[in-house]
Amino acid sequence: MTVEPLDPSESIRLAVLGVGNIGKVHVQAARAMDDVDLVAVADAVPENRAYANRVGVDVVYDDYANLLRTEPVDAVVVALPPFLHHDAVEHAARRDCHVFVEKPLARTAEESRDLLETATAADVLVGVDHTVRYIPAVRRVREAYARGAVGDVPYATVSRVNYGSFARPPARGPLPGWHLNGDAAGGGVLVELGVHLFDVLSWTFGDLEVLAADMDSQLDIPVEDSATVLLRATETDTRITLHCGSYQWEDDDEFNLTFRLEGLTGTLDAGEYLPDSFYGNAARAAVRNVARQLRGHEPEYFGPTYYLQAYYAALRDFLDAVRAGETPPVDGRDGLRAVELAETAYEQADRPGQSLEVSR
Amino acid sequence: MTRGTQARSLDAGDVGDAVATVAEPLLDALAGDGSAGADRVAVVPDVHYPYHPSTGMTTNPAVVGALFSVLASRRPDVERVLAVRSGPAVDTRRTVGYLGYDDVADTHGADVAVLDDAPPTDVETSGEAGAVPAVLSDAAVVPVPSARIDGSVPLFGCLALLARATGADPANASSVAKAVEAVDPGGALVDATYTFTGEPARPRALLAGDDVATVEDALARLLGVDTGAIPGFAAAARVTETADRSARRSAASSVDGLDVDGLAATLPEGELPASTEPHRLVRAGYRLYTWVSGDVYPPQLEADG
Repeated sequence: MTVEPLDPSESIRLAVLGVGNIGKVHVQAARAMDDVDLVAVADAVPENRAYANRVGVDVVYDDYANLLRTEPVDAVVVALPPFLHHDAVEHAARRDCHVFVEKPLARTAEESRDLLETATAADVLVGVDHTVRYIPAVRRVREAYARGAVGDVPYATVSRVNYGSFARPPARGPLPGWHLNGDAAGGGVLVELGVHLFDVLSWTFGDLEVLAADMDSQLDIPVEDSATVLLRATETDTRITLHCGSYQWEDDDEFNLTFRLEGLTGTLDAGEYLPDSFYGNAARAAVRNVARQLRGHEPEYFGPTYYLQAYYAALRDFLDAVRAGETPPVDGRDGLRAVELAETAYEQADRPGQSLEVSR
Repeated sequence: MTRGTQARSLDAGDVGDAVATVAEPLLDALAGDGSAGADRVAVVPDVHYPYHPSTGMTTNPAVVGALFSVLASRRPDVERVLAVRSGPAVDTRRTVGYLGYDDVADTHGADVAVLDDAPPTDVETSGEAGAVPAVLSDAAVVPVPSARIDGSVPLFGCLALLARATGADPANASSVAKAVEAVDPGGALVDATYTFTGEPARPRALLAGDDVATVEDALARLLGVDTGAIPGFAAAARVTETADRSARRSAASSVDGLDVDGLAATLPEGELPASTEPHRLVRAGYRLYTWVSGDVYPPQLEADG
């Protein structure tokens, strides 16, 4: 889809709806962009509005609908809980405002399709924040595969495990809120982390079919905290195992991601491209950025915290597409596909499996 | 006497057998006269946060279920209460549910008493007026701590658990002693099926007895902690001392049925994970870096408040 491009001499007027954990990263990323005017933010939580004020956003709202009615903006970041995505996009579409939506695009495939129809009818562009495909190590694996570095790939595995919204020791409250409410979030870890992995796989291998799926929870919580899915890439006939979990204590310097392709001539493993040492990488990135500044160049934003770089890059790509009036590189169809795959995996997991007894 | 054992496995049946074996002296006391023979037994597990029991950071619900089970068979008439309070700012009801304790209570006919909002009753401890949750004041209270080190106290054992149950500060020696005096514990059962001493382990061990001070002493030995460093230990030992216990304490140099020191030698040595709260010097250094380089400040480095 193409729409009217923005005036290249004007700043992009942006608002961030939702200034929670990831919304804050979008606020900081947007503030670093020279051609972006972060006009306002909206958040129902006073502490989050205070954060925005503290980092230099003067105009804050407690109601995103009110922001959209009041502020003239070209685009918004929708970093609200998933149950509000559809409503926020509807409000934005009424104001001819392009939307960059946090994953999952919406809670269900049906809600996602409806959201996209609303956006299309209003001629607004939809980008989806599937940041994992922007992680440099993931990109390098995908690029090597695409140039045929290991030949055909009969088998691949991808996983991401963290501790969700729980706090590893030392314990501190409060407990996670909407993340553990399946109605509000659209599900458990499969829609929290799994959709990222579906997106990476679709981006790498094309169409996927879900062969089997299994969900589990380590605690007696209302949603799954681990999901394992067996997939087949229909174009390449690659079998893939996907696992995501929100059960593992995660330290600040850890990023438990695997993406490994077993090819006919060798293996591609994202782990080989991830920094050996978080702190060593941070120090090197900091030195590089100081040197860039001395030479009068822009820094690599979020350089020392490499996993946050992906958020900057994803938002930058979306805003470049908005300026050009072109479909964003990660668009609503990508977001819908990831939600459809998650939904299919839930359906597969609900089907009673057949156990085969092995005779001794 | 403190008794110890190791379960054959962590299957519910083996854990149940081990609890039945180790808790016998405790059950004798709960069936006897005096406060320990009260009509209500309040069992207090460590549910400070919904950490999975296999991390060693919370009490294994299978152990509490087994205790309720043997208690019901020994004293079917007794009112069984699961008395719970999570850590600061953590929702106790949700934590208890996430850990599976609602099912334990249902299965064993125990009432769940959330101590955060339980009605208080006045008590006098060492001549001073105070208040504790009423559900604890006229019950035989049995702390069932996990076997773990902690950030605020060297180990979060029987005494810290009792202090938290009453709403007192587990790190304050005077508060701990008053809490112990106020609730008059009927004994204790330590869940060391899993432990946390810097890393998790699964020694499958249980310790129990009718004297909370000697059980705490055994737990301290298991975790390699000096009882002198446990807030309120000496005072709690004094207030729970009886003539009978005094004789047994001086005679008891080992735990009956378990080589605690040998088991302790197999446990990992370490500390709690470092706080995820960034140190102020890290924050200051990063802000200086962003000022020099033009990079942006990651929100994750903001103080939690």
